[in-house]
Amino acid sequence: MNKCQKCQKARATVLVTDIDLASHKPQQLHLCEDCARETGMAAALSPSAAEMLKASILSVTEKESKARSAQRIMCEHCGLTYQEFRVKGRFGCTACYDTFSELVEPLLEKVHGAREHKGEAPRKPSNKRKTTNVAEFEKELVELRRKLTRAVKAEDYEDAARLRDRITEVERRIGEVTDG
Amino acid sequence: MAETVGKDAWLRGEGQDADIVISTRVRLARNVEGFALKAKLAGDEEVALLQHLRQRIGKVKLAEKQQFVDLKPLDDVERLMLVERHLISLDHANADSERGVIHDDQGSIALMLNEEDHLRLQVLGSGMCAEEVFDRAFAIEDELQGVVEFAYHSRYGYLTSCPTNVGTGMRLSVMLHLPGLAFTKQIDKVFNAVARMNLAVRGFYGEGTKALSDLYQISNQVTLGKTPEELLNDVRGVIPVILRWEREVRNQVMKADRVGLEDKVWRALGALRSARTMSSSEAFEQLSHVRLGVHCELIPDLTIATLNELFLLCQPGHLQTVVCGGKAIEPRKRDIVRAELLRSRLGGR
Ligand SMILES: [Zn+2]
Ligand SMILES: [Zn+2]
Repeated sequence: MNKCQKCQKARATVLVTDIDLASHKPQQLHLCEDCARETGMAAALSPSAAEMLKASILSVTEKESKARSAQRIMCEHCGLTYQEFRVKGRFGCTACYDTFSELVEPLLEKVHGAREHKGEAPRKPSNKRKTTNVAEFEKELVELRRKLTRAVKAEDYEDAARLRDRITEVERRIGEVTDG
Repeated sequence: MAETVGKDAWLRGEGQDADIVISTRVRLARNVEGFALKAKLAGDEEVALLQHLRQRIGKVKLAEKQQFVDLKPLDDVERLMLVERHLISLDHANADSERGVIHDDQGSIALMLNEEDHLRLQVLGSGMCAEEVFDRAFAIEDELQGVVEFAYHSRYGYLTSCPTNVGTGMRLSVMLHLPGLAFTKQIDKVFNAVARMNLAVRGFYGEGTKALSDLYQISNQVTLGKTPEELLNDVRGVIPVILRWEREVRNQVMKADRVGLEDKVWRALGALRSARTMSSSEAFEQLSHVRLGVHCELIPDLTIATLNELFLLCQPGHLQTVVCGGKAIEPRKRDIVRAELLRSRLGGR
């Protein structure tokens, strides 16, 4: 029977993969529920592996950040700084993946043992059942929302309000077309 | 509401290998192109995102009956009910944001809106049904792609708030009841087997930090670098091995120490039928033993569906809703109410 590798007392019932900082290799840890919970690796009732691995992200990115002085990097789309990412373990927008790609890839390698997605790409909504008209509106909508994220970040509230109005308008028109 | 309580499809104790596999679940994380991710989504945008998703997903028929639940106006007990039914996560219940869930009346399909990712699509089934929930989830996802544009990166796949979910965004979990392996202290065999497959095992929690006895969840650890089908096969591959071990152990115990097992099982039923106070963790432990007794055909006249329902009703949200009419009561009083409920449902006095 495995004893908890942290407290050495209770029965280990949770298996956690963590990243060993020295060797940079994944390491299996057998922990009791209390220790797993305490280290923030276990969540209640609906456990998510994301929580479990958050600790790994932090430890890995800390190392990377030192090597590259990456703390100064900030996402120009959403304003997320590298420091914020370190604390939260969450990105602020989809562009963050490119902004921080140098840091992301070693992290992905450690967490997933891979750097690239394998599997089907999504079909574009416009390829099926959508008229060209709607496809164009949809494209505009995405662009408007990106601009809005930037405007909010820059605290340009006038611009943000204008963009919101336009978004509502475009949504309405899409609704008109698709509802027949 | 009372007539639907405890009637979700995954609680029926049906399906393949339902003597060991409680439920199978697949979850897909998706975000909507154009909107900021959760961490940088301003309050106004939360409202806009929720509206956008509600309006778009509203056009898709997910099941015979589906409903949207706005989580913000609900009280704590109502949210807890949804957590216990596995329709929302605990984080989703406890968050403070504009958020909701769209689910069907069977409790099989749930779409969490504005959780850690904009959309968390979940399909849940009773027993071992990995292929079924997998196919159903991707069929729904395909429908949704007709109305929502999901954030997708040509190199990293589906983009998620947390890089631990990126790529397929898929998490497939199988909830197992392994009292035999636990009873004979061989559960580490399971840990070793899944570790070799790069899968994760976790305990299942109730109130506080006490693990609910003998329930283990196995799921894929990685989401990137493998196709959804490969991840499905990884999880599916390890389950038959664990099922064989659990059954072998149960048979061995029945042969070597039938009286010992009967004693344990009947004592558990005795406690459930007689106790005047019962904590949720004790209730789960005793119910776990009784469940084993039912499967080893030591206890007649009790069904797995009844036990699964009691597992659910003993949890704080359901207990306070079903027995106390939605009124929040303190833990000590809950233990008394729980004991009363168990006595009445199991023919105690
Ligand atoms: Zn411990
Ligand atoms: Zn960003």
